[in-house]
Amino acid sequence: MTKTPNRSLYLWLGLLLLLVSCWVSLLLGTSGVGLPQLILTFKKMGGRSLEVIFYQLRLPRILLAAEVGMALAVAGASYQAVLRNPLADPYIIGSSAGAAVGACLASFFKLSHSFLGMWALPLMAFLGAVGAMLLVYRLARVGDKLPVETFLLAGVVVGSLLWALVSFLLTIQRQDIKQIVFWLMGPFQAASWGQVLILGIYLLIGGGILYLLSPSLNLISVGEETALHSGVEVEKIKLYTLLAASLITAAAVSVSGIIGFVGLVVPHTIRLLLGADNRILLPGSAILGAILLLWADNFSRVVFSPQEIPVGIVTTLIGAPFFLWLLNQRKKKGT
Amino acid sequence: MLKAVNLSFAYPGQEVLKDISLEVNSGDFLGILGPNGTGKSTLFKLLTGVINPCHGEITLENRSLKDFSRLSLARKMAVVPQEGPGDFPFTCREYVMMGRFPYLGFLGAETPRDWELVASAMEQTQTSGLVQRRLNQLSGGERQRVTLARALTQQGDLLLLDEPISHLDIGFQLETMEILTRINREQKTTIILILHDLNLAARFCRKLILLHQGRIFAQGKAAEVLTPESLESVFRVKTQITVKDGIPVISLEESCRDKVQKT
Repeated sequence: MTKTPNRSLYLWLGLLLLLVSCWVSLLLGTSGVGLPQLILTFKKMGGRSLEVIFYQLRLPRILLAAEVGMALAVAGASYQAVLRNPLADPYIIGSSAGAAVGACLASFFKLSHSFLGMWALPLMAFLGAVGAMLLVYRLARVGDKLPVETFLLAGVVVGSLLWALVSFLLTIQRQDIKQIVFWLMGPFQAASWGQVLILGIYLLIGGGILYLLSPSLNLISVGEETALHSGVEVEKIKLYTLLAASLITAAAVSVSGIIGFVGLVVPHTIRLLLGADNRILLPGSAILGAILLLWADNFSRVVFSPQEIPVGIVTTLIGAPFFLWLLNQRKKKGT
Repeated sequence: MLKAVNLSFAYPGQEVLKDISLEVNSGDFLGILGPNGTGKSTLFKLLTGVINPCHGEITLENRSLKDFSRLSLARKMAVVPQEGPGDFPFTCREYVMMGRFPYLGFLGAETPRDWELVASAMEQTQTSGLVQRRLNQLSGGERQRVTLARALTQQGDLLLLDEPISHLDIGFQLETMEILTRINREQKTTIILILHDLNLAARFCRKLILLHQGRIFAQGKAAEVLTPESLESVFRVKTQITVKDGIPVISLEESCRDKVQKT
């Protein structure tokens, strides 16, 4: 656990596990389509319907779930470092509430019947999340600084306000409620290659920026003054980090609804396993987040089939007990 | 080396420091003393470039402090602030390595020389046994020494410490001051620190500055600065001072704060 080579070995092992998970997930499903059919499809002998099942239904869904898991875990780890709070969550800045307002508005004004079509809901959710984030920044800014305390406070207040707005919109809107409620809890059935591509781009750029900032994030997470005196331009790095993490979260939330616990549990687990160094923590969280959400989604689509449970419920049902177990282990070890 | 001319600083509606001029020469060991709320921390923030003075100027090696980037300043001056190292489970060695930040390459890649410097800084601060310990498992005394080790790896000619011994027991207080003295002697590192303990200040600092209501009340050698008269007007205490081996030893008699207010 001490030397970097060992730790990067864990990362490679994790990556391998993620790839295996993707392959296995391809074979899981409700339509009785498994390995033989997959082989046939690879040989281009499976026929049109098998191709649709694998390439248009399962694969984008698998990739999207993995990407959302990565996004939430990386954003969570970054927020935690920059806010110096291991309990910070990617939704802390009210982006989930903002996205929910956007989604409600989209369905309220029946935007899916406009030229936007199926993109109406994710687009409005994204705009809502970004809007909430900008509002929190404006409120939290003191002069040219962004103090952690005011940022957290502004996030909580804006979040509560927007959730009240969501409840209000849901109350006055009679029909279509099920669609919204289902979206809020994390839908992946509607996964498309377009969503995979867009979230992928956000993840690549945002995640790349965060990874490059990771040595500075290490210093900020031990103290802003310490970081400043070690040569980190603290306010700049904080701003870049929060922007990158918020955009990733907004992009994820717009396609996935609200998926709890991934952004909190995953970085925490990696910290316990591999330590707090963000150069390891960020990629490690990305990999574990992807694996976790992938299996949560598999669970949600297979176990109670043909009924699907929203993946957000699964992650919380797995995440909360796991988190408690972890805390308990830690208490026993006295660390 | 570090020079301040006619500094003054005010928060909106409240003047904190006025007409502060001081000069720190290479190799100095300077202690800043003064009662609570007298502007010590503000002076510390000014000298470390965290805030800028309203009037006056601070120069480091004849260059205005404002003209340094944080990175180039970090190579000249290492700082031990009062804040603790947070809640994250970094190992002590990872934490000490963070002092190398201004020198590290892309993505903070460490060279063998960086590891050597970390090892020697931990040796100097007697923290070599803590290499694998997590920051959140340290005692107050250990934390202070690890923080000092991190500052040492920055290899600045100047080391500034904000109340480095205030929360330590007398054993660790003395030990920390001895470590600082050794660094000052052997590596010619210039040291500036804020202290509360007058006796330790008298014994270890070669130069003292006594602040009172935002101004410099006295500066110079311990025996010149720490007199019964100066301590009575600055701290409102009656003291008895005996000189032992040229170092003043202060024993407290009684507070005269109330009596002054009554009369």
